[in-house]
Amino acid sequence: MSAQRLSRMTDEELGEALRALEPMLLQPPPPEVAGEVGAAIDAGRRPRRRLSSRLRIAILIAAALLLIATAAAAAKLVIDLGGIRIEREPTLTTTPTSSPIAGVALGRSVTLTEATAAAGFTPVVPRELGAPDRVWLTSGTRAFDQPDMVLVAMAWLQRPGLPRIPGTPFGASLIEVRGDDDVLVKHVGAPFDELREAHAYWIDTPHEVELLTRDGTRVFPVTGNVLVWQRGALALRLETDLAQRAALDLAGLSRH
Amino acid sequence: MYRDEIVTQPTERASSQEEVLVALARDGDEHAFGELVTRYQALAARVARFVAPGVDVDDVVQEAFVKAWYAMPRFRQGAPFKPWICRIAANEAKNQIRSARRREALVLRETSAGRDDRSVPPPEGQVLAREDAEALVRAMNRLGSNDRLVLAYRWLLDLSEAEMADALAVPAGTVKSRLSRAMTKLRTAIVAEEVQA
Repeated sequence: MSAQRLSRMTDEELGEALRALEPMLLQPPPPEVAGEVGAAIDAGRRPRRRLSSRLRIAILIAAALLLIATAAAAAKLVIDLGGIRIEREPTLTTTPTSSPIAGVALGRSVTLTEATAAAGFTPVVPRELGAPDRVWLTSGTRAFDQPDMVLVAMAWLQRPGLPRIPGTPFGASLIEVRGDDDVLVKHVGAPFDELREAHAYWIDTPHEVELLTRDGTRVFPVTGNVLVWQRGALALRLETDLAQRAALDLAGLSRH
Repeated sequence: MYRDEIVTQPTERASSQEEVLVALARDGDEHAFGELVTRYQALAARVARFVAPGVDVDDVVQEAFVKAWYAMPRFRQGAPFKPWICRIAANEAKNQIRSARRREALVLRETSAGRDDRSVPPPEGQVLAREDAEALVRAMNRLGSNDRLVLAYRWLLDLSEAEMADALAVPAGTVKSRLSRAMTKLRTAIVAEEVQA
């Protein structure tokens, strides 16, 4: 019963519950260690050893090389496109539910006009796709009391030239987020492509997407092929069952 | 001399005071460092309790500050002290878990009067139903120390996003996804506890 109650809480409410929990925990009185710390310092515990200059230089070079290697690895692991982030990692420990374009997951169903008014930006609609068959609107996470971010999702039903994305009735879905805060995080286990000319990323292996909304975080499996790119402050994510070239054409990112 | 100035100027902003204390401590002023210990020992203890409940908190906090003293010359001038000491305390608590080779759990204090006089009563207006508290503690105990730490930084210690990034030693952009993931794991643990019950 209480688990159900806790599960229904928003992140904010669950956080408040944690806050209320702390004074209820068994805990010793606050420490008073200033005296002991001072005594330990006065006693000169663990004095720093002076290393020979040759050894110091060797250690510094090794540390610098390690730092460069780590930075290079990190750059390959995380790609930040403002509201959308791609993380390359072997596994995600959370349990995915259904496809994100099941509809409900992406917020309330609205018209494109309503979405434009609420989002504060005009969603990009690829000319090739035409008017979307479905539009949803949801607010991004409110962590750290920052203003809400708005996510606009659009979907087009399958049709000739736009094959169905497995597990959905749609042939294409496009998610758009404006701003710097992560609203959508993609967890990709396999290598993916950076399309330098198009300034985009192409993920054609099954992966998971984490949606950070006001109502909490949900994780969904993604089976379609995904193109992610940025246009100014807007991050865009197009999912289709098309090959890379066709997806680039659809997004208007091809160089003719 | 600096200490006298700090004491006789009560209107000086706390952050400026701290910057002076940190600058003095970097130069080897033990009294200034002692003031920092007094200010932050309770915070360090809260970090240790969430990372490694059951360890000797006094020992962790003392060791953390001794390590901080020896690291002070390398402390970046103008950087905030709070996330730095959180990070050292968390690392020290993790070290103690490793050396103890056991992991203790968070435990709720007894409700009957007199069982734990030293504990602080819940603040007014922040009452969590006992049943919910028990479920939440069981779920928290299912989480790893890193996830508990992220939740504690955000919800209990009220660290800002930038402070969390410093304390966790991760890029600022990663904090939200870490927090979000820890919240998801907590929710999963709550459901798992219910199924098991």
